[in-house]
Amino acid sequence: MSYQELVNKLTPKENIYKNGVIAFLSGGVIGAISEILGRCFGPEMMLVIWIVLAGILTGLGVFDSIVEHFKMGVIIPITGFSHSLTSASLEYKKEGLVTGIGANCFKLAGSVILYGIISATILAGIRGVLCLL
Amino acid sequence: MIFKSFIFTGLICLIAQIIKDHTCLTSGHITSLFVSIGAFLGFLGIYDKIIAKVGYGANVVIMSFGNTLYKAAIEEGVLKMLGSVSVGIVSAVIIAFIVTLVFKVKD
Repeated sequence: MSYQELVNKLTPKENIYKNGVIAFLSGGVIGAISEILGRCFGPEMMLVIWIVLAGILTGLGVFDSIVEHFKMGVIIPITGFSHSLTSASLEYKKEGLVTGIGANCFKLAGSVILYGIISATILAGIRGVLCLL
Repeated sequence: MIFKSFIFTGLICLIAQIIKDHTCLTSGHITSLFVSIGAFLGFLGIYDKIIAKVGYGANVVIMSFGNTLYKAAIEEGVLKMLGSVSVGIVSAVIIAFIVTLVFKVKD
C-alpha cells in the first residue's frame, strides 16, 4: 500500500451530505434571527449585534467549536467576518500591540475588504463605460 | 419574511459548504468569492430585489457587503464607497481590539 493510499484510508471522511444539511440549517437560523433583529433594531444594529456576539464568543474560545459544528453556516454570515478579525488579532496578541495585533488583525478579513473594493471598482468602471455608450 | 430569510441564508450557506467540500478552496477563498459575487449581483441589479423580497436575511450574508460597496461606488463615487460599510468594519475592529485585550488565547 502506497503512502498516499494509507493517508486516504486513515483520514476521517467527512459526511458531505450531513455537512450540507447542517450548513443550511445553521445559516437559515441566523437568517431568521436576523429578520427578527432587523425589524426590532434596523439593519445596521442587526449587523452590530452579530459582530459583537461573534467577537465575544471568539474571545471566550467558543466560536471555534461553533465553526467546527456548524461549518459554513456561521462563516458566510457577517459573524464569520467578525470572527476572522478577532481570532487573527488574538492569535498574534503575544507579538505585541503593533507588530502583533496591529499588523495581523486584518490578516484574514483583509481579503474580504480588498476583493470587495476591487470588484466594486471594476464593476462601477464597467457601468460607467456602458452608460457612455 | 422570517421563513424567506431562513431559506435564503440557508441556501447561500449550503452552496458555500458544497464548494468547500468539493474543492480545495479555504473559507477565506469562499468568503472573498462571495463578496465578489455580491458585487456582481449588485451590478446586475439583482441583489436589491433579493433584499426587497427576502428581508434582512439577505443583509446578513457576506454577499451583501459586495452589493453595498458597489452601490456606494456608483452613488457616492468610487473613492467614497466605504462610507456605507463602515458600520460593519468599524464595529468589528473595535470589538476585536477590546476582546483581544481582555481575553487570552485558548489552546
